Amino acid sequence: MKHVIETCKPRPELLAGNFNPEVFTLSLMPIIEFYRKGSSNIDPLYTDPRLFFPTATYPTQGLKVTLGEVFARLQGDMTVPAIHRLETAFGGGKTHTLIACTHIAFRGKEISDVVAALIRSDILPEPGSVCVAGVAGDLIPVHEPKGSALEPYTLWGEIAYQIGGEELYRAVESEARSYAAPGRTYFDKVFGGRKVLIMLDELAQYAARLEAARPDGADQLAAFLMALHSYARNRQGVSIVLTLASAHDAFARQTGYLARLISEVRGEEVGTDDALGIGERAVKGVASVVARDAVQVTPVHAGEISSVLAKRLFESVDREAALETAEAYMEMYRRNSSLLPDEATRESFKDRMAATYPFHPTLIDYLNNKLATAENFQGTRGVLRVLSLAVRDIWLKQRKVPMIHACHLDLRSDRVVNEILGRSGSSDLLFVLNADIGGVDTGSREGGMSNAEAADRENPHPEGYPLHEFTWKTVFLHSLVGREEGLASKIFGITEAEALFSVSFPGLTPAQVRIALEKIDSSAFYLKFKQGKYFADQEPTLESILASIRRTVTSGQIEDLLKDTAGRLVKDGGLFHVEQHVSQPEHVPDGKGKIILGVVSPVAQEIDIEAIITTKGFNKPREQQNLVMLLVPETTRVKGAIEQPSLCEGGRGSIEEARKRMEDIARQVKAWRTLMDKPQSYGVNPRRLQDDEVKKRWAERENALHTAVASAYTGFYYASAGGQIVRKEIKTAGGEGGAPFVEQILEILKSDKKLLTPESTKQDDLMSLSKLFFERSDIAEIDRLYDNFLCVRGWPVLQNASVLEQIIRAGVEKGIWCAYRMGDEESSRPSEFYSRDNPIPMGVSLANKGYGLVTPQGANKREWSAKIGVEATRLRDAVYEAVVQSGETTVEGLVEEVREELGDVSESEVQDALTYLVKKEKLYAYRSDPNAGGKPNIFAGEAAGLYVPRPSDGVITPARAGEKGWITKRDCLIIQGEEGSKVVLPLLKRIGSIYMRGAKSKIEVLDLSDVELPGGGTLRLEVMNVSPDSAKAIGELFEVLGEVVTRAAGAKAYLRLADPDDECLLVKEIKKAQNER
Amino acid sequence: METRQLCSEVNVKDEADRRLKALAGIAPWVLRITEHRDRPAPVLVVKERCRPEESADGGNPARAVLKDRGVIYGQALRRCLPVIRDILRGICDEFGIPLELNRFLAGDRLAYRGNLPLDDEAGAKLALIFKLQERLDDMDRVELIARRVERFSREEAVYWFTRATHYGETANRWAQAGMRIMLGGQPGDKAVLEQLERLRR
Repeated sequence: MKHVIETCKPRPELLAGNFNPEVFTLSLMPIIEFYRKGSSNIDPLYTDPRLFFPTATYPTQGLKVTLGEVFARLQGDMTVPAIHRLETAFGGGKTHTLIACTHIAFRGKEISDVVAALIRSDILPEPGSVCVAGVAGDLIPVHEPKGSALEPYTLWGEIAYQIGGEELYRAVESEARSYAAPGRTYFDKVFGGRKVLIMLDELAQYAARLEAARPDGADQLAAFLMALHSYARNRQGVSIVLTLASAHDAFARQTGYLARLISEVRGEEVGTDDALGIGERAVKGVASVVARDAVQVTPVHAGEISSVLAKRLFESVDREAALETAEAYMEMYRRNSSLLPDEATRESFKDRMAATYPFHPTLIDYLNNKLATAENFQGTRGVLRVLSLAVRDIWLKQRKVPMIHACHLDLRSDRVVNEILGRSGSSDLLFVLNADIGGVDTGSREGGMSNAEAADRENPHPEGYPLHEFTWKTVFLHSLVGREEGLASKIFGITEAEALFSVSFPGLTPAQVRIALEKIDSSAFYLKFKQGKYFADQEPTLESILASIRRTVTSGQIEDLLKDTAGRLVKDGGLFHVEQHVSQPEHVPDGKGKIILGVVSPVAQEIDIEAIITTKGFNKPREQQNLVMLLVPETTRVKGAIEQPSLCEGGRGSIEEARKRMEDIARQVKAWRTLMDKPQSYGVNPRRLQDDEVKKRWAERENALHTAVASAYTGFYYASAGGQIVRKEIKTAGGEGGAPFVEQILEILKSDKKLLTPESTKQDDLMSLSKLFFERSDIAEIDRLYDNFLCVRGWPVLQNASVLEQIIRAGVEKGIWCAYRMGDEESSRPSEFYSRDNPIPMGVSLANKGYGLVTPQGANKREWSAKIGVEATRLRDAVYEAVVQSGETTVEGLVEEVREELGDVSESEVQDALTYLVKKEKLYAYRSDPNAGGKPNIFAGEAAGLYVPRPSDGVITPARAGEKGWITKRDCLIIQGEEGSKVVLPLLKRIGSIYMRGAKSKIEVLDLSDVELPGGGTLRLEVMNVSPDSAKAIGELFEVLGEVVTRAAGAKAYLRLADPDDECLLVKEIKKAQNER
Repeated sequence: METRQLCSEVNVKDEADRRLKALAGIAPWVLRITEHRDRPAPVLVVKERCRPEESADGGNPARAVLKDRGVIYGQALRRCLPVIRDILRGICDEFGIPLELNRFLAGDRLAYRGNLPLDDEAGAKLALIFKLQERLDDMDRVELIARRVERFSREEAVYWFTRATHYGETANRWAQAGMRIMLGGQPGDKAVLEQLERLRR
């Protein structure tokens, strides 16, 4: 597709700059003057028919009809009408038609070659054979002139003067000078068989002026016209062409002009309403006469206008390129048919585009249907002036446009603006043009660009078209006329579909134009959208009010707002202590014992992270350095060794840019809040602000601020492993209460193994911790470890204090380390020691003073771990003995007794030993149960799995429990204590043989202790659940034992047989032995 | 020439410092900018100069002593700093010439350590602000209270300060609690922010 600058060739004078747009305002009289005097200072284009017809005249239907009929009549053809009225309401061409008549009337056959397309050559008059009388109604005098020069001042006098010169005028002078319309004889005298062409231009204005000058002026004019018409109708060779707008709109668009004319005539100021009254009264009579007699002709029909325009502006237009371009447009329209008016996709529109090429039909329609309705625009002449300026601009600037649209009018040019705004009476909208679209004075505005330009810069079109300026300009242009009636007017404003249709061209799709239209709502100051139409309005939009408020917002207010917003990103509480608005080391407190998340102030220029982490003020070292973490916005420069990734390539510039972006949004939000707070102060009706759309926009800005501030916080700094301060990237869209921030931070800390949580108890976690714990020594105090977690930068941090205890317990259970607590100063062994085999009981609180950790190797070296097995057994024996001795006691009493025996043992140790024994059913614990009569609850064996001793609980030997009758279900034989040993020991030798002989009892427990051996030392033996077969098998063991054990003194025995059968040999032997004692 | 100018500037500064110290020695209130071991630096302490009743035996009146009336530091101090500067800005010497004490608190980092003289109005206002901000977690409320106290007249400030400190322990406690609500609203009230924004200049 080619551009118009390649396909069309404008007239050279247009490009040369000596093209005078006033040529289009030419009227009939100078041409007639030219023929009378033979010279003229006007453009030869109009005076020379050989230029006028081929280059300036497009053969419209109306022109051809008029010329054909007028000259046929002059040649004597009575079948064609004698009187023609040129209808001027639409499209102009009236004066042009009159000039064409003038040329042909004077030159006739002489110019037959150039008028061949317009008129049959046989009716062309011989040159000089036709008398031409042309009268411009706004120019001929209506008063009797002073002075000696001959100057007609009646219409009939003027006609006589033009036809016959002074001679004829003198002959009819008495009638010519009379204000009363002349009669028939006058016409005979004046016309006298001549071929006469009478052209009456602007008849309505003449009538009005005449009426203003003389009371019966209009009536006399009507009488004259009636007489003239009836004379012309019945005579050969007289033809009349007149122009008179239809009565109702004769002055509709020209009230100002009419008032001026009438004021001149009256010699006093006449108001427009009075002038209109005079005009209407005057035209009424004349119009009815004309309407009765004249045939109406429209010189230029709507479809022909563009061709007329092209003819006048261009030397040549490439028709093939026109078709090609039209096809390209059609293709675009078809693809976007849903967005556009129906007209766009009709096949006929393609032809129209080709016909109007290089102008887009919407431009022609705009100029003709909208702009031309303005009084001072002068219809087609005005259109031509605007188009000539547009064409000149495009060619001079070599703009590459496929077709010329309204948006290609250069409103930055003084002349165009004066032409369009001035003539359409819209100069009061100049500030709208400057502010929103871009006009002559836009450069002097604050910021130096219009809102459309700013929008284009912010969101540029890929091909570089000033999309917003084009679109907004179109909206503006469509708001120039019809403003009085407002939106009710058909010509005021533009609908979305029309705007898309007017602006879009191949390369700039309707969808893109729509984006620009939507932008109007949020960015334009005076362009608006209401009732389905876009239009420009003098009343400022909210946006412009906001803009004016924005100018009053101080930087202090912006800083406050940014700080406020940043202060709400992360809420205090939870895992972190959040310190807001940090910019200096002293802003972050020390000694909190909790992770401190310092949110760096969004308005801080530069911060020194290393200083903040390592000091708490000038020259004051920080203790808990490991707990300081910082959230840093990208708007703040980070000083020191840590590299801050530059946002893009820019370095400093980009930081400034990010800050500026954030401040811009803050400024907008502040302006919104100010406006919402006191709308009246800014001349805004509060109800206007209650609109949902408005509220939505406000909320959107508030959100944008939140998002902008939140997303500025991208840097998270903390001391990582090895004590290095590292930066981690955070990406967040914000969110209420800062949950995303906290989540992301936790995620980062966890993945870096910086944060220890209750879940950090896996083998590898513990192993790496163990390396930290025992870095220097194989022993470490827990208090010291805790301090290290707070202060040493290379260490991880604890989610909370209890995590450490959980980790220590897990490490003990997994054998990674052992826990201990030294007892009194004298003892070289710890009073408490916990390892894999002996995990830390729930009741022990490691938070108490004195606990420490030691590696298993360290514990072995110190022989702490070996000791523990013996100790526990000893304790259990002591507990057992204590109960056996007294037979029955309480837990409280038991602890006392054991302490007497073993010295300082803890209550829990005794309870542990007791629980062990109870589970093994060596002892029974009981708790009195008021609901169960005298019998208490008994805990023993498996039933005691969950038993936790209480000080008041009783403890009893199974034997005593049996005596009390508490154990009823199970029958068993029990002998125990020293007494028991005296029975059991002598039997030992024979146990093997007794079973060989058929004893059936199962030995549930046989426990011998403190049995003295002959060479010193004691023996302890325990067998459990021994079946008769097993008993036979170990019979020899007992035999040897029985021989060694000579003395039973001090020895203790415990034997329990389940379900003793009296027939059993062993039972018999035991009973016998008991009886012997 | 330049050297002489420099000298005279330095002398002017010394002279000003000397006068300031003298004023701080007699002013009815003193603002002390200092450091405490267990608190983030700096700590601002407002002190009132109390003259004990003359002893009954007609002996020499005891020396006037400075009594602590309130302390502020850390986050609360940072939020109230603009207000404190505004309050200090109004303090003049005996000739009505502004002392421009706010310049001692300029910038992000308060480097100055020492005593600043306060008049009755400034002293009462600062004491009231420092008292009322104690144990408040919500910094928006702290700032709101400070900004409202700043707008008090001298009489109002002194009256409310005495209400909060001179009516016995219980009444004082109630007065302080009441004032916190009166000036700073309920915790978590959204209107706190709106009010705050309106008061900010």
